[in-house]
Amino acid sequence: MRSKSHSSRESAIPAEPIDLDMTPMMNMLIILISFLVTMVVFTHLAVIKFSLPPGQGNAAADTSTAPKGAEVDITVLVSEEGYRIIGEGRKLDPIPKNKGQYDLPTLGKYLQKLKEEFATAETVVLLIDTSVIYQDVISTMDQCRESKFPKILLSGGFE
Amino acid sequence: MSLKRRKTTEAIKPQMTSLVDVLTVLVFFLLKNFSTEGDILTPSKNLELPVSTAIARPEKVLTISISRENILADGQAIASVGEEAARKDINIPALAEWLIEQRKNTEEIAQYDANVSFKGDLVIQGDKQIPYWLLQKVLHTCGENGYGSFSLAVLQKNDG
Repeated sequence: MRSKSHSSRESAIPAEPIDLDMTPMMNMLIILISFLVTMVVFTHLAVIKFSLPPGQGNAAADTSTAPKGAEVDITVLVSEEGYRIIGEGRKLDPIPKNKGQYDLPTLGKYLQKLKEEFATAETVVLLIDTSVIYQDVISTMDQCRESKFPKILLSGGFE
Repeated sequence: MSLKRRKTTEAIKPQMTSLVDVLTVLVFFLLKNFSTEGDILTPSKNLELPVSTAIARPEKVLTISISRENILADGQAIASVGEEAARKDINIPALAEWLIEQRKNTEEIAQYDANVSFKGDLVIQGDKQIPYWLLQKVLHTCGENGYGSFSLAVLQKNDG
């Protein structure tokens, strides 16, 4: 309003810069920040759910459980050397470790191929060597899930 | 003197804009990491969880933690990894004992409360460096005692 009525004069005398009162804004932001800092979570925890096969209560994860009925039997061997997929009585080429790391992309490709071949297959049995560390087990399970095999059974020989 | 002082007080105008900018960015960053659910699961000490792409949320159930030195049941150390490595047996007696006790407790409560029932749910927090045989021992012990539904606790990858 004011600036409009004085528009003719403004060109001659430069208008004083408008002072925004930032104090309430700052107060609000600081309170908001302290509130958010107390509620913030930097590590998001999640869980991977899996069950022992029903009726196998006594035989735990160490028993290799053949998927029942029409399910296709796909087993991924996880050993110190790398992966090896055994499916339907066939053995696919072994997937050796790449620079000391498990070759997850190649495993994904192989599983993808198997998925195309057996579209209904959902179960993968992981046969894991006893010395494989937990992070590799989890990564392998992740890769299986990404390759659309949501049912993962853990298995392994106990020495 | 008095004139001079008045001049200086007039001259000082704190630049708030940049400060507000910083605070606004901070607010957005914190909002992004904001969690309304709180922590249902607290990671145990001396334990580094593996990283995973899993997104399922944890539930409040019994927790077994496997660190590099100990096996803990609800925060209490009940077995040592070194001893378990030496013993060539797939069961962990101390853990089995604890699991049976917990099961008994739950079933006793279930007699009086229809909302409580024994489902055999467990959350397992494992250090990412533990070998598979240790996990297998724990899983076997749990399976033998009627706990058949596991949740493996993991850290969510940040790209999602």
